[in-house]
Amino acid sequence: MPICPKCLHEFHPGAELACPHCGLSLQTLDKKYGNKNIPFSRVTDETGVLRLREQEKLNAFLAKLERKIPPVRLAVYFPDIQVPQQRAEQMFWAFNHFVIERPSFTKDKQAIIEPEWLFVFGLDVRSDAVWFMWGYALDPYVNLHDMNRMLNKSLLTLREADAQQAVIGIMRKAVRLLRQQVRLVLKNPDKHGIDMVITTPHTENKNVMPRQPETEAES
Amino acid sequence: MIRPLLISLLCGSLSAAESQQAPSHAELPMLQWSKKDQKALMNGTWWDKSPSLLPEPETTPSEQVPVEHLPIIVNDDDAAVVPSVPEETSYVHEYFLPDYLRNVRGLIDPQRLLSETETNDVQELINAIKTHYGINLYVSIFAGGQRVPPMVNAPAIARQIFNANERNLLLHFHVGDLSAMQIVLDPGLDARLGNNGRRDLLYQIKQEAARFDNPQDVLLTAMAALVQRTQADLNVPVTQPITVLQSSAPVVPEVDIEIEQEEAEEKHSFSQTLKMWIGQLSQHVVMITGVVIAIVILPVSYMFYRNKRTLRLLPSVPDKRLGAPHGAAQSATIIYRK
Repeated sequence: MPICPKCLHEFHPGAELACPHCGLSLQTLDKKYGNKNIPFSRVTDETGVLRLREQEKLNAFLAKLERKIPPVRLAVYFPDIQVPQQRAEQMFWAFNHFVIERPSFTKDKQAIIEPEWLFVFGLDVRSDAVWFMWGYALDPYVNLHDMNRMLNKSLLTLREADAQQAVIGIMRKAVRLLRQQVRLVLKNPDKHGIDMVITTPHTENKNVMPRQPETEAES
Repeated sequence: MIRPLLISLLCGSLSAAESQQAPSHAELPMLQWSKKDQKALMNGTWWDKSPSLLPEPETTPSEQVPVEHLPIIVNDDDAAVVPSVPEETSYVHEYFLPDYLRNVRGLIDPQRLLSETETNDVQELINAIKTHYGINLYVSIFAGGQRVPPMVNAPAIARQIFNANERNLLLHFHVGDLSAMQIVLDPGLDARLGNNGRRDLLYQIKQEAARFDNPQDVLLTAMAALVQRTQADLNVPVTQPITVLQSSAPVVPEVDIEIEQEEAEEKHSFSQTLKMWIGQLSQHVVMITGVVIAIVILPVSYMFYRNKRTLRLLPSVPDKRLGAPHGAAQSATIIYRK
């Protein structure tokens, strides 16, 4: 069940435009934060926590780590959040306004970086908060309960290690959880809404029409 | 050769003495018959060494007979007076019993059942066997069908004459009666051959000796067969005599008598069983090490492959919500420092 980033209420899958509980939608947030693009690289540090060398090292680590789970793109985001109470809705808004800088992810000029495959670890150094956010394509592969538990267990690492080491440790654990869930999902893909013949840039069978979402069928 | 001469000599002397007036038994001196006397008798000098036995100065020594210790059977018709030892074959006279147990040469024939030539041949063969095979071969001679008292049966003789630290064989031979032949092996040989082996050895010797009719040929063949087959069965080096068989155990020879011995079951304690297993496992150290390495390496390799291999995610149907084009999912926000 989807969860609203603002009110944390679960809502039915058919709520395409707004949250049935709080009325949150991207359009309302656009009016609040503006309809501007946010440049986004693999390591986006808006607060200046990491040095350049640390950024490069973290970038290389994430590039190596994401090879285990293609086509997922791993990224780290250090946002500059002025109002911590609005962090969740602000990150929801930012995620949908990311303009991905391809060179930071890959040197292949022909490669297409799709935001739906982004798996971003956010760290707010002002309010000492961490969280994960991901695109639609990763919804079946992320076990929300396991991710929250893993973050809770990483509190000590976050408190005692520096930011780079903490991010490396947490991302390694997150990828391990992702792989576990991927194995489970791929054993029974139909149960998790995985269509083997959907035409996407990552599949080669272009003659098969994509399956229509269940929400559309119900509506 | 000696036996007929002795018989004729004794018969002639007895008949001559009977024709004259023989002294009574009370008048004759007590004789002590020994091997020395026997040897002197064989050489023809015994009469000269015993002049007191002559009843008359005119009588020749050949007409006198030492009758004190030789049993004499007197028939009713007074036709023949014959010493019982050479002729009587139904039993072994007690006079000869000690000589069966006192032997150092190999041939045990106190009854003089073999002629001198036969004795020499047998003794030469015994010496040759001792020289070439390192085996002390003893041959005890009895008359055919002669009843052997227990005192001088085969195991009793072997018990007395076998040397403790040497390899010994005894051939119990009845002249003209091959079926009564027995063999005795020293404890070492007997233990290696066992009861069945010993019986088979005796059977083969009898089979080989049965080809001949002459008692001397039978005896020599049996002797040779006993030694050769013993060597063949035991596969003992020919030129090296066995010097020590059982130094501490007493020499108890055995004959071909079937003795039922219950085979005691081998009882192994746990420590012995464990040691046996360890000994067997130590012979396969390489194989066990390989198995252990395989047991360790295979799971480790599988885990390594499982963690390193690439998992390609399949695209799913996007559940677009809240008007967001790319994604609207977030985990819980964790505050790590208060």
